[in-house]
Amino acid sequence: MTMENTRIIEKYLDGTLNDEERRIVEERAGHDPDFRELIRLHREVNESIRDNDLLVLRNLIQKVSAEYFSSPDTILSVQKEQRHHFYFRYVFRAAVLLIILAAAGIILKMTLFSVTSSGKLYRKYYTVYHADVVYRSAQAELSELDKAILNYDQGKYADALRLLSDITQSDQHNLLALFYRGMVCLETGNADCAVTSFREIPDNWNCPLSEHRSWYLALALLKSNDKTAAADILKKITTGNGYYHKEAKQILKKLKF
Amino acid sequence: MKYSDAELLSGLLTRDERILKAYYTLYFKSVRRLVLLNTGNEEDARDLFQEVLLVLFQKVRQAHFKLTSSLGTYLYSVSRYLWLKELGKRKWINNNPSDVEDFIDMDSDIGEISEYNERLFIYRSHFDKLSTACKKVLRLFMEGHSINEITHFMGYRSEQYTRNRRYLCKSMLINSIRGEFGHEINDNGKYKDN
Repeated sequence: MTMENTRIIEKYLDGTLNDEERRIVEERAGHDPDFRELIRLHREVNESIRDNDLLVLRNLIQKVSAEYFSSPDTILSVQKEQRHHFYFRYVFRAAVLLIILAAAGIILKMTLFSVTSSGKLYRKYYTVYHADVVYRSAQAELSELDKAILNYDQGKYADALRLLSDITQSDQHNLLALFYRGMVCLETGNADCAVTSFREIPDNWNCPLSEHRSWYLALALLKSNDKTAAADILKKITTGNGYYHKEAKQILKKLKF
Repeated sequence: MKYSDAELLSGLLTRDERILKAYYTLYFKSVRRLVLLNTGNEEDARDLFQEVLLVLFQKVRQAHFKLTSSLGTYLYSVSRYLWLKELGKRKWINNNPSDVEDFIDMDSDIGEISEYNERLFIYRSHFDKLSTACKKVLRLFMEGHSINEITHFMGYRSEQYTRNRRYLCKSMLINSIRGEFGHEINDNGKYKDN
């Protein structure tokens, strides 16, 4: 920092440079950032020398602050608040820990110990089977089996069961009637009747409904609490890539023996 | 003793010790809680509160200053702004600070005022290290005394000598500031590490 720079800058700040000198200073400040910065520094330093009030206030604040924090009232109040703060933090941490433990417990339960009773599994996975036959003609023109299926579809289970029982009594090999009788039994809460009906259908039934029969048989067995037999059927379902293989896998995971 | 906001502001301007005590009694607790809840400690809270009072002093001195909320809310908002800025400097970014009171948006000049205050105190610490004669000459110039008066007051032999003393003392002061602990003034007039 040269004396000459100081002289020029101080005179510039005092406003005592002539026009030509001031123009030269401003031109230099315009393209020389260091010089521009130096002017600013000089200006601020002058302000700091001139501004005694800020310094006096700072010293006074420091004095008041020291007195305030050494006062017994403040110390007591701060200690009390620190205890409160500590207590708050302690409670907060304990609460967070409890939440984490609870969440971990739930996750563990859902993964490692996610076993459910067979009755619950049945309720969770059972859905009504909807007959995919479309009836276009009047009921009078339908066969007995068609009428039974229509009754089943319309929720007239007693009528459906009566017709289906008649059909299966007269024709023990009417597998479709056995299938729907099984479904009617399930809908009316008679799992044993459903198991009997489905079991009368051979495993190698060559029909699109065969897959549904296995699935509903497994569910009927679950409802009857015959978990071993249900699991055997479900395992067979999972080996294929059929309609129910995902659900079968899920049930097997959750099945409690 | 209960003071109105106007009395508190006026007392700050006149540096009334009783009023300053009232600031601590009335407002320090909420600033302290703000700092403690947002990763600061007791000392941070005390430093911040002093900084806030000095910023408020500069604001109140401005002719256009107008309080648009209660003084408590204003002080808390200034504290909050400066504390988040401080956390940013410490690389402890907090996008969702815990608040203990309502606050209002602050102008960015709050941060600039705080930095300006900090610089002035540094300058003054260097100024205090100058010789008694140097300090006296510079102060007399800054107080607006004429060269003739200063020459006479200081007992110097000529006005030219007085001018030279002034420039010499000012050069020493500027060099001292620029050379502080390996720091220099950057283009923005702020200290930066070499």
